[in-house]
Amino acid sequence: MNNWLEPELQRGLRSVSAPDELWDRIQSAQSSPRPQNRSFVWAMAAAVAVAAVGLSVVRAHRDNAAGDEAFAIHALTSDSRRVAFHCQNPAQLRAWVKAKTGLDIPLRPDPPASIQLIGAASTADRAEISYRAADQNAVLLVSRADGAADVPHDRASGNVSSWVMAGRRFTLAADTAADLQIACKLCHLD
Amino acid sequence: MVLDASGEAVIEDVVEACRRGDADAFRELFETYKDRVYSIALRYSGNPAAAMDIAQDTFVKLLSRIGEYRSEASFDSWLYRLVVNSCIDDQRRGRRIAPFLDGLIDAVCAPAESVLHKLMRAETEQRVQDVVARLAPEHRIVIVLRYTEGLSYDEIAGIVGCSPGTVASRLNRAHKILERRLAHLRPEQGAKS
Repeated sequence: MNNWLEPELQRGLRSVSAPDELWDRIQSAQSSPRPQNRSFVWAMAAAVAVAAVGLSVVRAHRDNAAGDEAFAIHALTSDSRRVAFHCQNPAQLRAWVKAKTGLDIPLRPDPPASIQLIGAASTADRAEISYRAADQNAVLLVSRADGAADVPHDRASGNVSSWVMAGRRFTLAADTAADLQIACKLCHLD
Repeated sequence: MVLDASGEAVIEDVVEACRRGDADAFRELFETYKDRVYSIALRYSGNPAAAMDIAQDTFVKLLSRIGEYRSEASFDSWLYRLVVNSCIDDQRRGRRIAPFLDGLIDAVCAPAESVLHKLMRAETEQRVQDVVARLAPEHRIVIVLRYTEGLSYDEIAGIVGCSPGTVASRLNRAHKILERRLAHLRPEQGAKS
């Protein structure tokens, strides 16, 4: 190796001090542990994914709340979260989703510190916003529900909620029911 | 808690106390290893937010899996394996982008040196980090363990689960890639110092 490279690597990759808030984050994570049985989670994710695919085939051209919910749970539990556009800026994320899908998602321009945007993915008729709510995974799916009447919040399971508003179906999923409350702050005021 | 000649707690005893659920022992382990864990996470991911996630994940795993640690192996190596696995898990999530401005902002905010000199140094270091962050994972992790932690080939081999020869081969390959991509940092031949 040339003599110049090693010192550059030692300088550029030198050890640094961990931020003070790391301990607080670990304490916080311990008080709300993530699921530990990963094989169970994977099995559930696989089952939900199969269910989602099956539903989408059978009801390909219909509004499908169950499909969205299954999709949301799968997106939440998958280790490879689908993010096509990494962005932490709400305005840019909103613009990207609108350009890709035509769906306008009313993200708060100034979300609270408990909300940390990760990015978005899209298909032709569905947008998926990935983010963290109080350091837990959360996902918001928005799909078209043209002509459908508004439907208030429906808690499909403890950590999933869906509703229809202004021709769009919203499906929100978070790690726990408590996280779901915080996850709402993506769009809503405290 | 048992202390050694310098007054520091002997790590095996701290680990054993942590295994028994002693919260103070876990804090002791955290304080001992936090900088090493965070540094590896930061240099591997190239992103402070990702590094925080990786470090958090590592310490949560440490606590939940410390019963799996066998004292015949080095605790350092065992912990390094946890952080390496957390780095790889984070990479698989594929949701990170390296920030390009952090180093430069830090440089401008630092008052001690001339701003220009600090900027140039920060830019060089950022460039090195960016190029390392683009290496293939198997090359990147050996580079980080070698240059951030100063580990030997044997130690790296034990952590990543391959032979020292494979470590040497990966380092050699990574060096060649880095030499090519960082060629602009190479001092000019015959330049006066």
